[in-house]
Amino acid sequence: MVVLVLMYLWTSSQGSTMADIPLSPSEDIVVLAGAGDAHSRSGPVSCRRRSHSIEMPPRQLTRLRSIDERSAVHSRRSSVVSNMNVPFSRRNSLCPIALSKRLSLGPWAHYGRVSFSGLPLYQPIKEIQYENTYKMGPDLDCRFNPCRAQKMLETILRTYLADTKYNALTSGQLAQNLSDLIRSKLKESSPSRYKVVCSVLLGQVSHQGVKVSSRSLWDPHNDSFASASYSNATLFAVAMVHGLYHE
Amino acid sequence: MCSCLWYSTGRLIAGPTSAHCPVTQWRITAQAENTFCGDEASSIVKECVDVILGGVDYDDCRVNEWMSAVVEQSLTHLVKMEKAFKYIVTCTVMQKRGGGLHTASSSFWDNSTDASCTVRWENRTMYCVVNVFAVAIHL
Repeated sequence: MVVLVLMYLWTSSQGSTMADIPLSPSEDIVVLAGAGDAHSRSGPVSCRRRSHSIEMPPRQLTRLRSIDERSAVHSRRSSVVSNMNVPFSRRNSLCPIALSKRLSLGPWAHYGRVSFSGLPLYQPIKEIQYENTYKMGPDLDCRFNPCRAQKMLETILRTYLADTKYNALTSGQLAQNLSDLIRSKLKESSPSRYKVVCSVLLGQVSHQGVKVSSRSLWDPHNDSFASASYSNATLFAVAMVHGLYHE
Repeated sequence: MCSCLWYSTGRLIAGPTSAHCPVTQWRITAQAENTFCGDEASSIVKECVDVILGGVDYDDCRVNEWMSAVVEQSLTHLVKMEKAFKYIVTCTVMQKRGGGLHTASSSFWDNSTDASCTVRWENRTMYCVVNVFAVAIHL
């Protein structure tokens, strides 16, 4: 019975740690505005980066034992004694000071096992052992799909920039938002084991020449990219997405 | 850099006989291979851009040639660092005519191994922004 409860608690805690993966996008922005520029008319040039990764928090299994033991004791007592709220009801009835004395033993008292010298005895943390997948590449129908990615990029650019005018102050944030949006959309649709790198370029139309080029060192069978561009009267935008397979 | 230092001191203390310990050597190469040095990469890229675009003015016909040279040379130099990364190099050149330009990037990857760096360069007639993304191959 005790073992069963322990197993249940352990699995539920595993579930909760997996669900509580902090998806905190760490952001570092490099603003490269042309402050000391000879051309007073020339606009700002800024670069923003944002990366997003999954970091597993350290598992906390040490307290489970104590929770388990306490709950076991509690359940047993509660079947005998009618007072559910006080685990030491018998002592309590004899001497009400005993409870407070017991609580003031120290922080270890709540953590289940205590060694002879008074230090807590922690159980060794069990590591999850994963089986080998024996997969050397992506599954046949689970490759990065450049056609679908390109359609997605075109749709996003068209819907978000259709009625937008260039503004030197807000366009930097707009570009960052667009690239975040593209990343999150692609993260949903891209197959597992793929890393996604999105970059967005947003500029003002002033009859200038612009060229964008990209070259990669990667596995041409599994990795791929998509790009799309959009322009209206005041601004142009280029969005690029690279999908890289990793094992 | 750190690992190299450690390796040299270790060899000094232990003497030349234990310098060929295979386990130690493997650890050192694995550590050196898996870290991307952003400063080193940006200095490489900056040098390439300086050499290629240094003394020229924006020319619509020749900009394609320059850009492919920039991208290709920086990639070649990055590969010479002999690190286990996949690289993406993107280069943007814009003529200076008063227009603003913003670039933003956002990635879904492992922050502990993968990294990127950005180089912004300009001369009298054009802006050049080069982005390097390094994505680790090994876990």
